[in-house]
Amino acid sequence: MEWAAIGGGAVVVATEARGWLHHPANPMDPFHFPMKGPGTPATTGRLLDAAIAAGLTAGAVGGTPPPPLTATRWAWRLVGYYHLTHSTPALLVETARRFDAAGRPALAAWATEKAADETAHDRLALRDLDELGYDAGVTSLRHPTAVAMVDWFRAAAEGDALPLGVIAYAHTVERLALTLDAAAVDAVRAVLPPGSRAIRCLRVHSAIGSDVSHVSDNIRLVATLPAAERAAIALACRRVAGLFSRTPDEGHLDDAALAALFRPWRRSHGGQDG
Amino acid sequence: MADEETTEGVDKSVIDKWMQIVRAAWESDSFKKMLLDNPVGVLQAAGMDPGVANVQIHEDTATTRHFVLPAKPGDVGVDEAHQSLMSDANPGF
Repeated sequence: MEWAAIGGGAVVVATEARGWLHHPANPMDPFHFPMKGPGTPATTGRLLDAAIAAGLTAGAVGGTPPPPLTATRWAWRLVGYYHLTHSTPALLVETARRFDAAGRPALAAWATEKAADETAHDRLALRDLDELGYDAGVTSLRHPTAVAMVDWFRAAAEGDALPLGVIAYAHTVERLALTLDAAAVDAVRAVLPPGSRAIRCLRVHSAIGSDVSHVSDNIRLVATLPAAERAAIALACRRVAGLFSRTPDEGHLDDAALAALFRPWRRSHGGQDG
Repeated sequence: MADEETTEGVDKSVIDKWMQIVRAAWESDSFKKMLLDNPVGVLQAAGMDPGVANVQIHEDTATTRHFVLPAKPGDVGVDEAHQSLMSDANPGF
Protein backbone atom coordinates (compact mmCIF):
# COMPACT_ATOMS: atom_id res chain seq x y z
CA MET A 1 0.00 0.00 0.00
CA GLU A 2 1.18 3.52 -0.79
CA TRP A 3 -0.25 6.87 0.28
CA ALA A 4 0.44 10.57 0.03
CA ALA A 5 -1.02 13.75 1.47
CA ILE A 6 -2.26 15.95 -1.36
CA GLY A 7 -3.33 19.05 0.55
CA GLY A 8 -6.58 20.19 2.08
CA GLY A 9 -6.43 17.39 4.63
CA ALA A 10 -6.81 14.74 1.92
CA VAL A 11 -4.68 11.65 1.42
CA VAL A 12 -4.63 9.40 -1.61
CA VAL A 13 -4.22 5.74 -0.75
CA ALA A 14 -3.42 3.03 -3.29
CA THR A 15 -3.17 -0.72 -3.52
CA GLU A 16 -2.32 -2.70 -6.63
CA ALA A 17 -5.99 -2.67 -7.63
CA ARG A 18 -7.61 0.42 -6.10
CA GLY A 19 -7.11 4.10 -5.41
CA TRP A 20 -8.97 5.94 -2.66
CA LEU A 21 -9.36 9.56 -1.64
CA HIS A 22 -9.25 9.57 2.15
CA HIS A 23 -9.80 12.44 4.57
CA PRO A 24 -8.24 11.38 7.88
CA ALA A 25 -10.35 12.86 10.64
CA ASN A 26 -9.31 10.78 13.60
CA PRO A 27 -6.00 11.67 15.25
CA MET A 28 -5.16 7.98 15.40
CA ASP A 29 -5.65 7.51 11.67
CA PRO A 30 -2.50 5.86 10.32
CA PHE A 31 -2.65 7.95 7.16
CA HIS A 32 -1.69 11.06 9.11
CA PHE A 33 1.84 9.71 9.04
CA PRO A 34 4.25 9.81 6.09
CA MET A 35 4.45 6.84 3.78
CA LYS A 36 7.38 4.53 4.38
CA GLY A 37 8.81 1.61 2.47
CA PRO A 38 9.45 0.86 -1.17
CA GLY A 39 7.08 1.32 -4.06
CA THR A 40 6.06 -1.11 -6.73
CA PRO A 41 4.96 -0.19 -10.26
CA ALA A 42 1.44 -1.46 -9.51
CA THR A 43 0.87 0.55 -6.33
CA THR A 44 2.84 3.60 -7.44
CA GLY A 45 0.84 3.75 -10.65
CA ARG A 46 -2.41 3.65 -8.67
CA LEU A 47 -1.09 6.27 -6.26
CA LEU A 48 -0.29 8.72 -9.05
CA ASP A 49 -3.60 7.94 -10.76
CA ALA A 50 -5.48 8.71 -7.56
CA ALA A 51 -3.59 11.97 -7.12
CA ILE A 52 -4.30 13.00 -10.72
CA ALA A 53 -7.97 12.07 -10.36
CA ALA A 54 -8.25 14.07 -7.14
CA GLY A 55 -6.65 17.06 -8.86
CA LEU A 56 -8.96 16.84 -11.85
CA THR A 57 -12.01 16.75 -9.62
CA ALA A 58 -10.82 19.56 -7.35
CA GLY A 59 -9.79 21.77 -10.27
CA ALA A 60 -13.16 21.39 -11.94
CA VAL A 61 -15.14 22.61 -8.92
CA GLY A 62 -17.08 25.75 -9.81
CA GLY A 63 -16.03 25.55 -13.44
CA THR A 64 -18.06 25.47 -16.59
CA PRO A 65 -17.63 22.95 -19.40
CA PRO A 66 -16.17 24.27 -22.64
CA PRO A 67 -18.46 24.77 -25.62
CA PRO A 68 -18.85 21.86 -28.06
CA LEU A 69 -15.87 21.13 -30.26
CA THR A 70 -15.75 22.73 -33.70
CA ALA A 71 -12.93 23.10 -36.22
CA THR A 72 -12.29 26.61 -34.86
CA ARG A 73 -12.14 25.30 -31.31
CA TRP A 74 -9.84 22.50 -32.41
CA ALA A 75 -7.48 25.16 -33.77
CA TRP A 76 -7.61 26.81 -30.33
CA ARG A 77 -6.68 23.51 -28.70
CA LEU A 78 -3.84 23.17 -31.18
CA VAL A 79 -2.55 26.57 -30.06
CA GLY A 80 -2.53 25.12 -26.56
CA TYR A 81 -0.75 22.00 -27.82
CA TYR A 82 1.87 24.21 -29.41
CA HIS A 83 2.61 26.04 -26.16
CA LEU A 84 2.82 22.80 -24.16
CA THR A 85 5.03 20.98 -26.64
CA HIS A 86 7.23 23.93 -27.62
CA SER A 87 8.42 24.51 -24.06
CA THR A 88 9.22 20.89 -23.32
CA PRO A 89 12.67 19.97 -24.72
CA ALA A 90 14.59 22.93 -23.29
CA LEU A 91 13.02 22.58 -19.86
CA LEU A 92 13.77 18.86 -19.81
CA VAL A 93 17.40 19.53 -20.74
CA GLU A 94 17.61 21.93 -17.81
CA THR A 95 15.94 19.34 -15.60
CA ALA A 96 18.49 16.73 -16.65
CA ARG A 97 21.33 19.11 -15.86
CA ARG A 98 19.96 19.75 -12.38
CA PHE A 99 19.33 16.08 -11.63
CA ASP A 100 22.87 15.33 -12.76
CA ALA A 101 24.27 18.10 -10.56
CA ALA A 102 22.31 16.66 -7.62
CA GLY A 103 23.93 13.25 -8.12
CA ARG A 104 20.79 11.59 -9.48
CA PRO A 105 21.98 9.96 -12.72
CA ALA A 106 18.89 7.77 -13.24
CA LEU A 107 16.61 10.81 -13.05
CA ALA A 108 18.96 12.78 -15.31
CA ALA A 109 18.89 9.95 -17.85
CA TRP A 110 15.10 9.91 -17.75
CA ALA A 111 14.93 13.65 -18.46
CA THR A 112 17.55 13.45 -21.22
CA GLU A 113 15.72 10.64 -22.98
CA LYS A 114 12.42 12.40 -22.64
CA ALA A 115 13.86 15.63 -24.04
CA ALA A 116 14.88 13.68 -27.13
CA ASP A 117 11.52 11.89 -27.36
CA GLU A 118 9.56 15.12 -27.20
CA THR A 119 11.67 17.20 -29.57
CA ALA A 120 9.81 18.63 -32.57
CA HIS A 121 6.35 17.75 -31.29
CA ASP A 122 5.56 21.47 -31.55
CA ARG A 123 5.99 21.10 -35.30
CA LEU A 124 3.11 18.62 -35.32
CA ALA A 125 0.86 21.30 -33.85
CA LEU A 126 2.13 23.85 -36.38
CA ARG A 127 1.49 21.45 -39.29
CA ASP A 128 -2.02 20.75 -38.03
CA LEU A 129 -2.72 24.47 -37.67
CA ASP A 130 -1.32 25.08 -41.15
CA GLU A 131 -3.61 22.44 -42.58
CA LEU A 132 -6.57 24.17 -40.96
CA GLY A 133 -5.54 27.43 -42.64
CA TYR A 134 -3.66 29.24 -39.90
CA ASP A 135 -0.21 30.79 -40.15
CA ALA A 136 2.31 30.00 -37.43
CA GLY A 137 1.84 33.46 -35.92
CA VAL A 138 -1.42 32.22 -34.42
CA THR A 139 0.69 30.58 -31.72
CA SER A 140 1.44 34.05 -30.34
CA LEU A 141 -2.05 33.91 -28.82
CA ARG A 142 -2.21 33.21 -25.11
CA HIS A 143 -4.00 29.93 -24.37
CA PRO A 144 -4.67 30.33 -20.64
CA THR A 145 -4.62 26.66 -19.61
CA ALA A 146 -1.44 25.98 -21.58
CA VAL A 147 0.21 29.11 -20.18
CA ALA A 148 -0.63 28.08 -16.61
CA MET A 149 0.74 24.60 -17.24
CA VAL A 150 3.97 25.82 -18.81
CA ASP A 151 4.49 28.35 -16.02
CA TRP A 152 4.18 25.51 -13.48
CA PHE A 153 6.51 23.29 -15.52
CA ARG A 154 9.10 26.07 -15.78
CA ALA A 155 8.96 26.78 -12.04
CA ALA A 156 9.49 23.08 -11.31
CA ALA A 157 12.37 22.81 -13.77
CA GLU A 158 14.13 25.99 -12.74
CA GLY A 159 13.16 26.38 -9.07
CA ASP A 160 15.31 25.81 -6.03
CA ALA A 161 14.05 22.34 -5.16
CA LEU A 162 15.10 19.09 -6.82
CA PRO A 163 12.92 19.12 -9.96
CA LEU A 164 10.77 16.13 -9.00
CA GLY A 165 7.81 18.26 -10.07
CA VAL A 166 8.93 17.81 -13.66
CA ILE A 167 8.45 14.07 -13.33
CA ALA A 168 4.98 14.74 -11.93
CA TYR A 169 4.21 17.16 -14.74
CA ALA A 170 5.35 14.74 -17.44
CA HIS A 171 3.49 11.84 -15.93
CA THR A 172 0.28 13.80 -15.43
CA VAL A 173 0.04 15.10 -18.98
CA GLU A 174 1.06 11.77 -20.47
CA ARG A 175 -1.39 9.87 -18.26
CA LEU A 176 -4.17 12.27 -19.24
CA ALA A 177 -3.28 11.73 -22.88
CA LEU A 178 -4.14 8.06 -22.39
CA THR A 179 -7.74 9.06 -21.70
CA LEU A 180 -7.89 10.08 -25.36
CA ASP A 181 -8.74 6.83 -27.11
CA ALA A 182 -9.62 6.07 -30.72
CA ALA A 183 -13.17 7.33 -30.12
CA ALA A 184 -11.82 10.67 -28.90
CA VAL A 185 -9.65 10.96 -32.00
CA ASP A 186 -12.67 10.14 -34.16
CA ALA A 187 -14.70 12.82 -32.36
CA VAL A 188 -12.12 15.41 -33.36
CA ARG A 189 -11.92 14.08 -36.90
CA ALA A 190 -15.71 14.41 -37.15
CA VAL A 191 -15.62 18.21 -36.78
CA LEU A 192 -12.80 18.66 -39.30
CA PRO A 193 -13.19 18.81 -43.07
CA PRO A 194 -13.31 15.37 -44.72
CA GLY A 195 -9.82 13.96 -45.19
CA SER A 196 -8.19 16.48 -42.87
CA ARG A 197 -4.99 15.25 -41.22
CA ALA A 198 -4.97 17.96 -38.56
CA ILE A 199 -4.92 15.34 -35.81
CA ARG A 200 -1.22 14.44 -35.98
CA CYS A 201 -0.41 16.15 -32.68
CA LEU A 202 -3.45 14.55 -31.06
CA ARG A 203 -2.55 11.05 -32.25
CA VAL A 204 0.94 11.27 -30.75
CA HIS A 205 -0.52 12.50 -27.45
CA SER A 206 -3.20 9.87 -27.08
CA ALA A 207 -3.75 6.25 -26.20
CA ILE A 208 -2.87 5.32 -29.78
CA GLY A 209 0.45 7.18 -29.68
CA SER A 210 3.79 6.99 -27.92
CA ASP A 211 2.47 8.20 -24.56
CA VAL A 212 1.37 4.65 -23.71
CA SER A 213 4.92 3.43 -23.18
CA HIS A 214 5.96 6.75 -21.64
CA VAL A 215 3.42 6.36 -18.84
CA SER A 216 4.63 2.90 -17.87
CA ASP A 217 8.24 4.14 -18.05
CA ASN A 218 7.41 7.03 -15.72
CA ILE A 219 5.74 4.72 -13.21
CA ARG A 220 8.64 2.30 -13.20
CA LEU A 221 11.00 5.20 -12.49
CA VAL A 222 8.91 6.72 -9.70
CA ALA A 223 8.43 3.32 -8.05
CA THR A 224 12.18 3.12 -7.46
CA LEU A 225 12.30 6.41 -5.53
CA PRO A 226 12.24 6.81 -1.74
CA ALA A 227 8.82 7.11 -0.14
CA ALA A 228 9.12 10.84 0.55
CA GLU A 229 9.93 11.53 -3.09
CA ARG A 230 7.07 9.36 -4.33
CA ALA A 231 4.74 11.26 -2.01
CA ALA A 232 6.09 14.61 -3.24
CA ILE A 233 5.51 13.54 -6.85
CA ALA A 234 1.95 12.46 -6.04
CA LEU A 235 1.25 15.86 -4.47
CA ALA A 236 2.69 17.57 -7.55
CA CYS A 237 0.55 15.38 -9.84
CA ARG A 238 -2.52 16.57 -7.98
CA ARG A 239 -1.49 20.20 -8.49
CA VAL A 240 -0.77 19.78 -12.20
CA ALA A 241 -4.06 17.97 -12.78
CA GLY A 242 -5.88 20.72 -10.90
CA LEU A 243 -4.39 23.36 -13.18
CA PHE A 244 -5.34 21.36 -16.24
CA SER A 245 -8.97 20.82 -15.32
CA ARG A 246 -9.94 24.28 -14.11
CA THR A 247 -11.87 26.77 -16.16
CA PRO A 248 -9.70 29.81 -16.97
CA ASP A 249 -10.53 32.91 -14.94
CA GLU A 250 -11.67 34.69 -18.09
CA GLY A 251 -14.04 31.83 -18.95
CA HIS A 252 -14.31 30.03 -22.27
CA LEU A 253 -14.17 31.94 -25.53
CA ASP A 254 -16.97 31.15 -27.97
CA ASP A 255 -16.32 30.43 -31.64
CA ALA A 256 -17.00 34.03 -32.71
CA ALA A 257 -14.46 35.34 -30.21
CA LEU A 258 -11.93 32.73 -31.30
CA ALA A 259 -12.46 33.55 -34.98
CA ALA A 260 -11.87 37.23 -34.22
CA LEU A 261 -8.66 36.36 -32.37
CA PHE A 262 -7.49 34.15 -35.23
CA ARG A 263 -8.29 36.63 -38.03
CA PRO A 264 -4.76 38.09 -38.47
CA TRP A 265 -3.36 34.61 -39.08
CA ARG A 266 -6.26 33.07 -40.97
CA ARG A 267 -5.60 32.38 -44.64
CA SER A 268 -8.56 33.07 -46.87
CA HIS A 269 -8.32 29.69 -48.56
CA GLY A 270 -8.49 27.80 -45.27
CA GLY A 271 -12.26 27.90 -45.10
CA GLN A 272 -12.69 25.23 -42.43
CA ASP A 273 -14.44 26.93 -39.56
CA GLY A 274 -16.83 24.70 -37.72
CA MET B 1 -2.16 27.26 2.40
CA ALA B 2 -3.33 23.74 3.16
CA ASP B 3 -1.19 22.21 0.40
CA GLU B 4 1.96 23.62 1.95
CA GLU B 5 1.05 22.48 5.45
CA THR B 6 0.87 18.88 4.36
CA THR B 7 3.74 18.76 1.90
CA GLU B 8 5.69 16.42 4.17
CA GLY B 9 2.76 14.04 4.31
CA VAL B 10 1.52 14.68 7.83
CA ASP B 11 -1.29 16.86 9.09
CA LYS B 12 0.47 17.42 12.39
CA SER B 13 -2.02 19.94 13.69
CA VAL B 14 -4.65 17.24 14.33
CA ILE B 15 -2.19 15.04 16.19
CA ASP B 16 -0.79 17.97 18.19
CA LYS B 17 -4.24 19.11 19.30
CA TRP B 18 -5.25 15.59 20.29
CA MET B 19 -2.04 15.22 22.29
CA GLN B 20 -2.91 18.40 24.20
CA ILE B 21 -6.33 16.95 25.02
CA VAL B 22 -4.80 13.63 26.14
CA ARG B 23 -2.36 15.49 28.36
CA ALA B 24 -5.12 17.61 29.89
CA ALA B 25 -7.25 14.51 30.57
CA TRP B 26 -4.32 12.76 32.27
CA GLU B 27 -3.61 15.83 34.39
CA SER B 28 -7.19 16.69 35.36
CA ASP B 29 -10.02 14.35 36.29
CA SER B 30 -12.50 17.17 35.85
CA PHE B 31 -11.27 17.79 32.31
CA LYS B 32 -11.47 14.07 31.60
CA LYS B 33 -15.08 13.99 32.83
CA MET B 34 -15.89 16.97 30.63
CA LEU B 35 -14.30 15.22 27.65
CA LEU B 36 -16.27 12.03 28.24
CA ASP B 37 -19.54 13.93 28.86
CA ASN B 38 -19.26 16.40 25.98
CA PRO B 39 -16.61 15.23 23.51
CA VAL B 40 -17.80 17.40 20.63
CA GLY B 41 -17.70 20.54 22.74
CA VAL B 42 -14.23 19.80 24.11
CA LEU B 43 -12.83 18.93 20.69
CA GLN B 44 -14.31 22.07 19.17
CA ALA B 45 -12.92 24.19 22.00
CA ALA B 46 -9.50 22.75 21.20
CA GLY B 47 -9.86 23.62 17.52
CA MET B 48 -10.61 20.06 16.43
CA ASP B 49 -14.01 20.29 14.82
CA PRO B 50 -14.95 16.62 14.30
CA GLY B 51 -17.41 17.52 11.58
CA VAL B 52 -20.02 15.11 12.93
CA ALA B 53 -22.56 15.29 15.74
CA ASN B 54 -21.73 11.93 17.26
CA VAL B 55 -18.29 11.43 18.80
CA GLN B 56 -17.38 8.69 21.26
CA ILE B 57 -14.30 8.71 23.48
CA HIS B 58 -13.09 5.31 24.67
CA GLU B 59 -10.49 5.05 27.40
CA ASP B 60 -7.95 2.25 27.14
CA THR B 61 -7.33 0.23 30.28
CA ALA B 62 -4.81 -2.36 31.35
CA THR B 63 -6.95 -5.07 29.78
CA THR B 64 -8.68 -3.30 26.88
CA ARG B 65 -7.26 -1.60 23.79
CA HIS B 66 -9.35 0.36 21.28
CA PHE B 67 -8.44 0.56 17.62
CA VAL B 68 -10.23 2.80 15.13
CA LEU B 69 -11.03 1.52 11.66
CA PRO B 70 -11.27 4.55 9.38
CA ALA B 71 -14.40 4.78 7.26
CA LYS B 72 -13.86 3.32 3.80
CA PRO B 73 -13.17 6.21 1.42
CA GLY B 74 -14.47 6.57 -2.09
CA ASP B 75 -12.57 5.16 -5.06
CA VAL B 76 -10.85 7.59 -7.41
CA GLY B 77 -9.59 6.95 -10.91
CA VAL B 78 -8.34 9.04 -13.81
CA ASP B 79 -10.60 7.41 -16.36
CA GLU B 80 -13.69 8.57 -14.47
CA ALA B 81 -12.36 11.92 -13.23
CA HIS B 82 -11.15 13.19 -16.59
CA GLN B 83 -14.74 13.46 -17.71
CA SER B 84 -15.16 16.34 -15.28
CA LEU B 85 -12.61 18.51 -17.11
CA MET B 86 -13.65 22.15 -17.21
CA SER B 87 -10.77 23.40 -19.33
CA ASP B 88 -10.59 23.79 -23.08
CA ALA B 89 -7.26 22.09 -23.62
CA ASN B 90 -5.74 18.79 -24.62
CA PRO B 91 -2.91 17.16 -22.69
CA GLY B 92 0.34 17.43 -24.58
CA PHE B 93 3.98 17.33 -23.62
